[in-house]
Order: sequence, then C-alpha cells, then structure tokens
Amino acid sequence: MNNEAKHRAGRNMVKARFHEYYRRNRENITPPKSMGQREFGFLLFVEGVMLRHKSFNQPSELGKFIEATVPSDIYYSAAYYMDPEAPMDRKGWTGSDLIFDIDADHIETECKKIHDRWRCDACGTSGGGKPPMICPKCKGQRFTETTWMCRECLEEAKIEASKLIDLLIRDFGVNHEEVNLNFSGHRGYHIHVESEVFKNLGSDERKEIVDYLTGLGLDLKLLNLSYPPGESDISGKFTVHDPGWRGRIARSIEEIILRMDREPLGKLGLRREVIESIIEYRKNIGKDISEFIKDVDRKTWRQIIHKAVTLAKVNIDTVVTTDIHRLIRLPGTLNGKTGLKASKVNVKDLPRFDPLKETVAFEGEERIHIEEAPRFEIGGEEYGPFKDVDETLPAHAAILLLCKGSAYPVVKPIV
Amino acid sequence: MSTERDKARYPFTAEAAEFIRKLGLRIEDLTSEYYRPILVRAEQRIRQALTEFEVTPQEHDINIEVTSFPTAVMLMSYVNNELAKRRYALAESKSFSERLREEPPEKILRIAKETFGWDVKPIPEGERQTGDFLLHFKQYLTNIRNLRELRWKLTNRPLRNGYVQLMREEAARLIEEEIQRRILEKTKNPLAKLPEALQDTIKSIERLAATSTPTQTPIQTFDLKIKDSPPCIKKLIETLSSGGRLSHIGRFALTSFLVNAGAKEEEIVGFFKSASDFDERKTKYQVEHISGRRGGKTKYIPPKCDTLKTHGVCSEPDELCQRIKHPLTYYKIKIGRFKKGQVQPTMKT
Ligand code: SF4
Ligand SMILES: [Zn+2]
Ligand SMILES: [Zn+2]
Repeated sequence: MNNEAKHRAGRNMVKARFHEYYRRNRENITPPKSMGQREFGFLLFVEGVMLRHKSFNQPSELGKFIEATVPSDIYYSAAYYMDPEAPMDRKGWTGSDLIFDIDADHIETECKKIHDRWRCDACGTSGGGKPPMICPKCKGQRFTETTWMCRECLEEAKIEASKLIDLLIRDFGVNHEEVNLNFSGHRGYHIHVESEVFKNLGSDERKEIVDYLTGLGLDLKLLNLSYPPGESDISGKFTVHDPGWRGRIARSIEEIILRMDREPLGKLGLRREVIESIIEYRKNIGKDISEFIKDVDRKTWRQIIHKAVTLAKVNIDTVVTTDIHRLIRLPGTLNGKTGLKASKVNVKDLPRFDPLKETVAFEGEERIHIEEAPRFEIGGEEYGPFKDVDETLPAHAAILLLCKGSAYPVVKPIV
Repeated sequence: MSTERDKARYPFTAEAAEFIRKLGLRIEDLTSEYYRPILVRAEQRIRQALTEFEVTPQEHDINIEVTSFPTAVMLMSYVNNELAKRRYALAESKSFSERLREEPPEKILRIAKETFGWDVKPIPEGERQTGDFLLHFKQYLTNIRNLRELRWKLTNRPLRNGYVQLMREEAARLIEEEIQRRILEKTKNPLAKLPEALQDTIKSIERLAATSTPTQTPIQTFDLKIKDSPPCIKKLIETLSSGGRLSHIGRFALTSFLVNAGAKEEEIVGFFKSASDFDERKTKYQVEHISGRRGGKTKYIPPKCDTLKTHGVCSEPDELCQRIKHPLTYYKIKIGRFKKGQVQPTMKT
C-alpha cells in the first residue's frame, strides 16, 4: 500500500468509529434553540466536502441524517433565518446568537513551540510553534500546520472563558441561563449567548462589543487612570466595584498586588523593585489596593497598570463574533480533528472540568503505525513521543492520532 | 407634559406626532391655499438646512411649525439627491440636539423614552459622579455607529449590568444620531405619488441642492492614488464621499496621507467638499497646516498602523498590511516607489 492509501484506510477507520458512536449516541446531540430556523452544515470524510444550507425541524430528522451520512464535523448557524435552505442572499436573516470562540491558536503559550509544528509546502523546511509569515529558506508563503492539544493550553483557554463569562454577566447584564459554554473538542471553548438582547445586533455593534472585551481603543486618560492615583481626586475612589474597564483594571491590580506569587509577578515582566515593594506591602498592611497605589511612583504605576490591562483583556477570535452568518460546531457531536466530543459544560463546573478526560468517546483498542507524534495526554494517560512505531493503543488515543494524520492502521495479515 | 412651545421646538416627538395625527392632514391638502403657510415654512426649513446647516425654530404659530417638519421630511423624500438628504437630516438633527442639551435632564429623559423607546433611567442623586443617565448598551451601540472619537467607544465607558453611564449633553448627542437616522430613513423613498401641484416645489429644492451640495465628488482626480491606498484610507474616503463624518484622527490620517502621497492642496480641499459637514475655510487651514505651509513648517505624516488600530481607523487590513507598520509604506510598495534612502518596508516576524 502506498502512503496515501494507508491514510485513506486511517480515515475509514475513524469514519467507522464515528458511525458506531452516532448509532449509539444519537440522543446526546443537543439541537440548538429554534432549530428549524437554523442552517446546518456537515463536513464529510471525503476530503474537504462541505454540505451546507440544510435544515431540520426535528431532532430525530437531524439524528437520522447524521447516521446516514456520518460527517466528520457538524455545524449549525448562530443565525436564525426565514428560509435556512435558500442560497445565502435569500435566506432572510432574522437574527443571530452572540458567539465567541476561545482557542489556543490565538493565545500565546510557551508550550506551543514544543507541541505545534509547521512545514513549508514548497521546500519542506519545518519548525516549532506558529509558521512564520514567509519561509526563511525559500520565501514561500504556504505551510502545513500540525497542532496538538495540551493541558497547559487548555488551562489558558479556560481562564479566558471564565473571564469572558464574568464580563458578559457583570458588564453586559447577561443572565446565567443565557450563557451556553461548550468545549470545542479540540483546543478551546465556544460560548453562545442565546438572548433577545443580542439577537438583532449587526456586525458593527458586535465589533464594538468585541473591542470592549479585548480592550481595543482603551484610553487611560478618558478613564481617569493615566497618572498615579494619589494625584487625582477621582482616582482616589478607584475601586474594584467601578463599572466598566476601571473596575476591570482595579480587579487585575488587586490580583497582582494581593495574590500573585513572586514567580508569576516576574513573568509579567515587572521590575525587581516593584515586585519587592508588592511583597513587602502584602506582608504589612496589604488589605486593599488603594493603600498601595496611593504613593506609588509614576513609573511603577505605568508598569502595573499596563500589566493589569493585559491581564484583563479577553483573548477571543474576533472574526467569529462579528460574522453574523457564522457556522459553529454543534454540541454533542464529534470533532473530526480529534475524535473528542464537543461537550456542553456547566459554567460552575468549569474549574473542575477536564476536557482531555471527560470528552473521550471511544472504547476498546486499535493497532496503528505512528509516523510521528509529540508527547500527548488523553483519557487521563500520557503517551509518546512516538516515531515510526507500531503500537496497540486505547481507541481514543489511536483515533486522535489517526485524525491528526500522524498514524495509519496496521493491517493484520490475512492468514 | 410638554408645552405648546416644546412641540414647536421638538416636532419629532411622540407628542408632536400625535398632535399632527389629530389634524388629519393629507398630502393633497398641502396644495390647497388654506394650508399653504405649512408648505412655505417646510420649504424654508429645507432651504435654511441646505444653505446654513441649521434650522431655527419659529414659535409664533405652533400649528404651522409642528406640521412643517414632517412636511419638509416628506418633501425631501421626493428630492433626487442623496447628499442633500443627508445634509438636511444633519442640519435638522443638529439643531434639535443643540436646543435639547440646554434642557433639564427630565425632559431629555422623557423624549428618549417616549419618542424613541430607549431603555434609559436616571442615575440616583447620590451616585452621580460620572453621568446623569443609564442607557441600555443596545441603544447606545446603535447610536454611536457614526461617532468615531475614542470617548464614545464602549471600552472607555462605565458599563455595568447592561447599562452605560451618560452625561446629559452626551444623551442629547445620541438623540441627534437617532433623529438623523430616522429622518434619513423617512426621506429614502416617497410614500405616495407626487401631486402635480408640488412638482415645482421639488424642482426648486433640487436646483438649490445642486448648487449647495456638489453631486460630483472630485474622486476622479485622485483615482490613481486611491487605487493604491491601504484599506483604512479607502474606508475613510468611502465614508466621506457617502456623506459620513470622520473622527478627528480619521480626518488627520486621511489629509496627511493624501499630502504625503503627493496630492495638491486644492485637490484635497476640493475632495473634502463632498463631506456633508464641510467647512471650506477650516479644511483649507488644516490642509495647509498638515502640509507644512502654516505653523510649524513641518510636514506631518499619518499615524502608524498601531495607532490607527487603537483608534478604530484600521479597517479590514489585507495581506500587504500584515507586512507593514505604516500606511505610507503600503502605498509606496503598491506604486513600486522605493527609492534608495527611503524607508524600507518592515517585515513582521
Ligand atoms: S494595517 Fe495599517 S495600512 Fe493596513 S488598513 Fe490597518 S492601518 Fe491601514
Ligand atoms: Zn520554504
Ligand atoms: Zn500547549
């Protein structure tokens, strides 16, 4: 068998597993509110084929369709339409949920240099982390990327998700029940807000909300925070309860001054003297931030406030939120990049939620040949690194490698 | 309760509309001798709006004054000149808001609520340090669409529980946006066929509009420069030529960009003429200042991409944008004009 055929066999094995999963778990699929007004889209195992503009009125219809086609990935529109099956310009948009995509792809983590790789399509030069703008060797601009899930990246995504939810509730007045939090089945979380308030906002308004969350256009002067607070009467009342970004910055400062250890403080890039004065303050009186910032010098103030702003920004994929026709992964379905379940998470369970364990979908074992894989974790176990070996692995680990295209099935000899 | 005087000064309010509804006026009536004063006053509103950028209220006959506003709006819907429609809407709404900002907060609050259905409430007496009102972010967002200064960005606003804090003057400014939008909406398409007798009126408004608002924007002379401009500059030009307003920094970025791209001063001034709030003298002064003919004698260059991003001027950056840090670099690469000794494009790594 040539290489292409081996990988096709891998895709077939994944598809068979997906088929079996959907046969048994049709009822796990949670269709969105007003499903009849949504467009559904399906990515098929046949390379790159996308079925779009589908609609379903009943969960059972959708289940049947999924079982019959066995797609690798299943999406639905955040938008509501009069006629979801019509071509884009004649669908009749009536509104859209407010959606957010938090993905390790957009978060700077050190570990990505280890577990993510790129390869220049033209000359084969490769490296760790994100691909460069142009290939250092041949100036090519096309790359193939391989990304991996890792605990550290997922923890970062979790922090971003809770920051976002806190903001939606605290600043935008969203109700707890309107926030749907979903693990994407790969490297992040999706947050869908199903609320009348956001439903008919256009792209421009959504962009403004995104700017708010990411702190774009923030002006410390307008917020009355551009100088050491000791010098201004308004800033004297600067507290964690202030509305908007003032409060957010105050809460970050509180985090920095009252709770962060020496090491993370160093990571923030604060000067040594600043860190020492923070620790000192904490030892003595340290109850609230106002005492500390009252007699801080200008340079320190600048540094602290700068870090506080960085901490308070939410890291989201800004394009997803402003696109009012976006398709988003349907919770309860499998992710074709990993074989993990895209799963609904209770907001209050988020801190304890273990995405690499609780979303595993397959049982049994598979024997595969692994071409190359870094060390990775799934189902509560660690595996690898691997290089050109045959292995018998639990099905969820084997499927992950097959999905990533790093392995293919070992064909048992026909006796 | 609003006074008779208020109806005349704010003829867009729900109360004024109710008052007009009770009169039971139809478009055909306007051509009759009896209602003629309304038509005359409506035309006067439009003329003043197009030539002086404001509309001064006349309070001696409330009936005429109140009805003349919707009549003027209706007349504008027959006028075949988009820019004139914008100009009219801008002048009316600006004049209303200038009056409104002098009013007590309760009155502003009532108009916002009853006429526009805003979800707005007063901030309790004791907590008033940063604002007078709390406005739901939804109506806030709809009405800041054309306001580009940083102080309007939601990011720089006290926001809690879905409500934005606003000062009274700011509320008046947002009401201006709301009225302007509504007038524009109503002038888009006429509701009925134009009665024979009104045709001359419309013709004469159109004639006035043609002389006071240039319908032909001098974009042609810039064609080359515009074609190779970065997306942000194109967007600014687009906004301006469709009668929109630019923020201070947007205006500065555009003018300094054009100056540095080698556009002539008259060309730039001519170009700004198409803006609905064009002030020739001011624009001339700015252009001369930026090009270094006035004041400090230093030629200004546009802000860096980073700055433009912060101020929301950067818009839909394309692939070339990924490689540059300054809009002028973009332009120079596009026109292939990288002479020795000039700034080289910086690559982001
Ligand atoms: S990246 Fe720079 S040049 Fe490109 S659109 Fe943004 S501001 Fe303009
Ligand atoms: Zn290469
Ligand atoms: Zn990682």
